[in-house]
Amino acid sequence: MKGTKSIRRVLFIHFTSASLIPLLLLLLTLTILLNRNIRVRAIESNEALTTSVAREIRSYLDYIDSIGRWGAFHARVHGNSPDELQYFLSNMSSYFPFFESVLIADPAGIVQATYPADPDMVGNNINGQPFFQSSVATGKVQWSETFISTYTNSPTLAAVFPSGTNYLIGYINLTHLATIGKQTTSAGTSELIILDSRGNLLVHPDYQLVLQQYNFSQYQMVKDTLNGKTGFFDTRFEDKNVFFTSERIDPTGWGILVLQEKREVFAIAYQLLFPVGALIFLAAALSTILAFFSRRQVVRPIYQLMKNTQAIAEGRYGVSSELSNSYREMNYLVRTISRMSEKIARRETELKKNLEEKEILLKEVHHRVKNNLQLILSILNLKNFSVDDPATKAVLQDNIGRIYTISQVHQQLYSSADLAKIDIASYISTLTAYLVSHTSDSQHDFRTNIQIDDLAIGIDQAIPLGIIIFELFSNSLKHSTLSGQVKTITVKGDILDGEFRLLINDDGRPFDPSLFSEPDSLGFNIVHELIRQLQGSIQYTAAEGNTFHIDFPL
Amino acid sequence: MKFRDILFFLLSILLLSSCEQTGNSILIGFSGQLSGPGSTPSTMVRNAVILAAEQINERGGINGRPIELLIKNDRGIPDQALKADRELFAAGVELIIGHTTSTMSTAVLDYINENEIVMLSPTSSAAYLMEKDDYFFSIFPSNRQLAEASAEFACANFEGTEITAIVDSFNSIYTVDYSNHFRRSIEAYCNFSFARLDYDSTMDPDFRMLLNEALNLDPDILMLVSGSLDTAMMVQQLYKRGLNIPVIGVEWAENQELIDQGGPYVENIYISNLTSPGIRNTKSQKFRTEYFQRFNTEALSSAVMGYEAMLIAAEALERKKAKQSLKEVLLGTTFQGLQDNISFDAYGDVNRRIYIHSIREGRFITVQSAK
Repeated sequence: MKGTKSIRRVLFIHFTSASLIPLLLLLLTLTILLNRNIRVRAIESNEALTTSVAREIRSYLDYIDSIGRWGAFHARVHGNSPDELQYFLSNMSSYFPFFESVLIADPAGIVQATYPADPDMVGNNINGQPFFQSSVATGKVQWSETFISTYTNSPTLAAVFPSGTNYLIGYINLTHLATIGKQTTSAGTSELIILDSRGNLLVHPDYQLVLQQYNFSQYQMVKDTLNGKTGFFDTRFEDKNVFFTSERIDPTGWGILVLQEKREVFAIAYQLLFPVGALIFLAAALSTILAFFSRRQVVRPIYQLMKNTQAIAEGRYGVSSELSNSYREMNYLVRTISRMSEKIARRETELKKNLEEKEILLKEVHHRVKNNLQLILSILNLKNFSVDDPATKAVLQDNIGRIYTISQVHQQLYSSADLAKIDIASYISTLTAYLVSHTSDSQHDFRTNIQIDDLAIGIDQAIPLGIIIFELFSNSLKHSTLSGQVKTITVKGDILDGEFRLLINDDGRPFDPSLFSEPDSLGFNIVHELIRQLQGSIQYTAAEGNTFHIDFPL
Repeated sequence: MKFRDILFFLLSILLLSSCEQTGNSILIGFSGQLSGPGSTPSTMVRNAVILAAEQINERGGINGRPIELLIKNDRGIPDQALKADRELFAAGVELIIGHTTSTMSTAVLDYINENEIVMLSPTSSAAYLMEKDDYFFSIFPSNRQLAEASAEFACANFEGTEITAIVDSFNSIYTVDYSNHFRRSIEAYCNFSFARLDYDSTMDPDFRMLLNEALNLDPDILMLVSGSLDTAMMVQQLYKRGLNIPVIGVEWAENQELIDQGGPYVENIYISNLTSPGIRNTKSQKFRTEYFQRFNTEALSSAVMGYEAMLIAAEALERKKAKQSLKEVLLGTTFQGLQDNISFDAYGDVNRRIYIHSIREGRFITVQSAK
């Protein structure tokens, strides 16, 4: 049935919702709390790591700076001849094996001494190096841009330290930075990236990218870091979602990025949530299955109950008083319905019996009424034979006909299966046949045309209708006998819009309509009275004979 | 909403969320020597290729599809070059931009022709690679053209009768070929006598000894067919000897390292090259500015080559119609370079204007438009 809810569906949805929603809420809460906690810890550890790496690198650069300054100071006082400078560089490098190579050049850029000793290099002019020019111009320590050394094939940094009239230039192999990175990040999931001031890689988990001088300044986070805009960020980097903390290192202008891929950061959450999620899924599946079977358990007896009540409604009272595999409450309900069904069955039997008795009684009453009327008819007929006065005879004849008409109604009633109604078509046919046989002149030839729709009406309408037909039909018969003009009498009855319409017509000479509308005869007066009793109407038409139209509501 | 509608909705979300987005990018390979000695020009080429790809993608890609670059390092080793190209081919690249040295390009030539992979080299110029109807294209002129330009310049500007060439045999396909063309030209144009000394840059060469040997031949012009650092070191040897003789270099050496390491005498070097640092047209200037903004370093000749190679590759892919090969598009199109138009002959070689460069005040300049 449309528009009504199915108890089966409601039970299923409620049951699954009741079990699923709390589980999902639990999962959601767990996820939010875990994520928040992990994120906070990631930020803290990232910031701590960045600070630590930055401190390490600053120390490293400070150390380079202090050694360079120490060397520059001592080179100045050590002597100025190439041999003395060469000797000094050897000693310095043996005490502080820190520089990949170190050399001393005069202000014109002419190399005076190198370590390791390189006769090819001595006498070369390094004035073309921008950082050397800058140091000469400012008289200050100057750091070069990083580059991949042709000799070591490693990222390298050069620093120039003014040393009296000369300059000490040290080349530092920056692979040490990667070592710092590894030491600091080995414990966790963080990755360290160090970039020089142009955005070129100095440290990266993929060392090949460092050797290939990749520049990362296309990333906004790198640009920001190199411009001094540092802090914690949540962004995409190298096609990964990452948390990163950045810091800028002076005086080199390098940027430090400590990254944690979010996938790895939240791996522990996934590890935890996956089994929880799986358990919740399992619980959800089980609860759904349970809901399905519970639904069956609850709905099946209801369905059986529905069948029982349907059977009772159809008059089949022998329903079972027990349900298979059902519940106590349902069985109680079924037993109650079963008892109710038995009582209904008993009462119905009693009612049927009473009805049958009343029907028999009613038939008997109709039969006796009819017999009594028949007795009256017989008496009137005997009287009729003994009366010679035609007027009296006519009156007797009319009354005999009227009584016959009433007796036929009772005849029909006790003969039919339905004691309340009679078949009007059969009744009118019988009545008109009687009238024709008892009233007409056998020498006069005419015919009747009776067409009545199938209709059963009660005694309250059948008797007035029968008398009306009797009056009008017998009137036409009389005119037929008297004038011989009537050849056909037609009686037609049909049902339209809840009304019975009757037409009685003869093809005799029309009479004065005022005789009907203002009657002084008993017959027409009876007709008008009975029409009023039927709450109907009658109309006389004097065209093509005499026609009466009668309508009354059924 | 009915129960089954809700169920369908949830299932749809589940299915949609499990679908991975499929990329529609165009794969372009790059292969060059990105590490080891002499890798600086190649990294500059690579950087320019990256810059061009980034700019094209910002403008909406090639016919709406973004470029995805696959970058491989051939490390200057032929086997590695072949391995790199095999990997790029397996990845399904539309073409390969590379290699950056003639020796590596030669090493993979058979492979790319067998597999019909278009290779567009920004800087390979050995004659062996030229005048072949194959899948190798170079936007760089051949050694013959470059050597002829240098020889013509030397004949016109320097006096003398002797020229000595010091040639790095490490990249012999390029260097020996170059020096041979130079020799033929210089002998033809001005009847110089030509001598050649070979060395191997990977064998820790003694430049002092090498220069002594060269100078013993009493040259009026020294030719250095070597990379930037070696050229710089040999010029330093001339400086130390106070020999201010003219030096003919090659475009392989033309990068910042030559200026930084070469000392004052690098201003005696003359190099025939494709680009003109002196040209200040809008496109060229714009590129140099953008390159500097992106990489914080000057764009030299190799960067221009890399940039042009990427632009040509992108335009060719954009023009390519169904049932048309990329090779046909490259052969039938005139492309706009940063300085001039670029078109390929039937062999996929270019004929472009060549300039003579030198160094003044720490910068490369154009001293002559040779051809």
